[in-house]
Amino acid sequence: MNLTDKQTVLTDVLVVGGGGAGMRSAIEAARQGCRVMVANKGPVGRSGTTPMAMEALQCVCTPGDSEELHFKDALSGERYLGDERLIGILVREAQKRVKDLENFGVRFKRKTDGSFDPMHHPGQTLPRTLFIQGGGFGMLAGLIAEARRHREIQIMSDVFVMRLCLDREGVPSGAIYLDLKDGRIKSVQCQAVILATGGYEELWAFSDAAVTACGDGVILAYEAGAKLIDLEMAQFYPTVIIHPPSVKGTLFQYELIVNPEVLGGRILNGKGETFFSGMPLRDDVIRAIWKEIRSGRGTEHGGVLVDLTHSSKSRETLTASLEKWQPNQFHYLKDMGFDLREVMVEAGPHVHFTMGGVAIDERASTNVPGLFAAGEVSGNLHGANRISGNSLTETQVFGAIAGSSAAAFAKERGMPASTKLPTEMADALDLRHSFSPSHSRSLRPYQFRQRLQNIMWERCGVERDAEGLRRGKAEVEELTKETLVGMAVAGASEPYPQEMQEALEVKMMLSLASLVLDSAFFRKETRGHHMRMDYPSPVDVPKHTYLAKEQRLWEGEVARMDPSKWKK
Amino acid sequence: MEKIIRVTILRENPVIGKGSYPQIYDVQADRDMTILEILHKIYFHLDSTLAYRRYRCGRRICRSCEIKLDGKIVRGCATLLSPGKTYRLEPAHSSPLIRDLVFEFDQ
Repeated sequence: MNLTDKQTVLTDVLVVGGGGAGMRSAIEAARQGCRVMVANKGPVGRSGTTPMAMEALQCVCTPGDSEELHFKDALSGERYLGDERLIGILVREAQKRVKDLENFGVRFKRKTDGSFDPMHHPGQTLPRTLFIQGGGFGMLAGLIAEARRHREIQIMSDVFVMRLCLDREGVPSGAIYLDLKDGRIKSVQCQAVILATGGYEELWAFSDAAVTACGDGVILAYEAGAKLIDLEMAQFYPTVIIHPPSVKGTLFQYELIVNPEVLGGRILNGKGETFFSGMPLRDDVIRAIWKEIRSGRGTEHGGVLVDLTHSSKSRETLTASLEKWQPNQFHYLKDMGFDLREVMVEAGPHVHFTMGGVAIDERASTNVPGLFAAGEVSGNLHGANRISGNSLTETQVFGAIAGSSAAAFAKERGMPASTKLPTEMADALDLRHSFSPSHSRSLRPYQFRQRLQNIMWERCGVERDAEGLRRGKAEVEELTKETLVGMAVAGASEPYPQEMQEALEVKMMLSLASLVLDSAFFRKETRGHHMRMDYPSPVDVPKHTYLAKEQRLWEGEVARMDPSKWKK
Repeated sequence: MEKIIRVTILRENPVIGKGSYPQIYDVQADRDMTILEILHKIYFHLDSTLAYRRYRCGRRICRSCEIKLDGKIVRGCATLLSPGKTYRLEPAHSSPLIRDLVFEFDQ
């Protein structure tokens, strides 16, 4: 059987990832007349990170609020590591992109007078978090409906992009992908590539992100010569359920739990005591929780308690509040036997978002011509602590910019001369050949993955130090060597070759973990979610951690914006 | 005390074209488990060739884990099965079927 598709698909712009940023970029590139192919690793709209996103999208919408205040809140919340050029664009474009979403059919919670009904999240001077009906899932459904109105857009579900192909000048000219629908390895030729693959939360044992969030785009970019930035910055979320097991991994927003205006609940340690007050930002809550757990005051399963049973609200008001602000989680947990009005659940820190990623400029361009990135895969917008609601805003603002930039690049470039990608295809087939069910003495991909996740949680988790990071690096290298001996992979050429996909992901994750460990070792300070026990204070002038294939690690200035620009 | 949840899964590889066949799996369980948890357990410990979608949105909204349980379409992440009982699992939709419990959503 011939396992490769002889035909190479042609398109103008290839978008890798069909979540919020990918779909928005596809729409923008199509509006500018480009043919677009969106390659999504799972079924589009029902996979990846966006459908798991909360209802929160941050955008100025309250009288007295301003873009300048949004900018200042973001900058300080991000512990002054965010790229000010990018933050400036985020806050200035947010309202336009919200209007776009409404035009696509996405709905936001409004008051009876028709004005927006925003939530007040930690770190906001004024309430600025729009509530999306249906959460990230609802937002993505609107974007997909809009994308389907453009005949130029071809949406491909269940395709896994394995590598990018570069022309002689080092410009992306196509990609090799595994089509999970039939198990074949195929190729696409294009003039520009947009990476919108999301984050790399799956590197850690405790993560509430999608099982597919393996950092594919970060490694694809690195292999293509792109600069990566602040990879050590992984955001921990304080209240993801760790017990009971049937609902493990479900996120319940602490921002709503501890808000006296919303749920009026508490976070308690294992002894039933409160240990922080007010509505602190995520990095500060994590520090407080970790201190309790480390001091032996955690719960039976090593977490803290989410308690709404003593809510300051009456039962009627609490029920109405749950229905209004967390309806999906509330009913899901209730139907699974855990009515939060009556029982407490154990929750603990999980990796929730990765701030680091591919370095981009104001046009969402990487340093590789023709290679663009938008959304969580990019790395310099959220600094050391993304503030609540800014990620969905990011997908829309930078998705649109990436689509427009890639379209302009594609039009100017024209179709690359060669229509064949023989070397890369041969490599991909060789790689598949190296995976075999007959490696019966080897581990299966999921076993390698679990071992990697445990190493990362232990050595590069909430608390870090030089010794642990050094050991982590050695352990990852050892594990990588073991995978080279072989991985046991069943059905690598069958339809839905799940283990083949997982084997490819493990390879990417091992490469990326090594880079994350290097970056975490390199940043000798504590800032935001990067907690170095051997360097417990922040340095005076924050710097970016850069990393690229040939240049290795170096330190770079954080772009600042002229404050006078805000004066009207 | 460990007990067994017995599931019969309807399997098929359309490329081979030999039609579908049932396969029985006995899963050790000391509590009620979601269908998705049970499928993970089968895939990790009993049969690496079983195809199903591992994704979970965590909020019971995405339908990625939709599956037919004893003839009725349910969400795998939010449906509990009990030890000591026997169940039948089939793909929620079979056209177009990719393999085993995995089908295409788009078309």
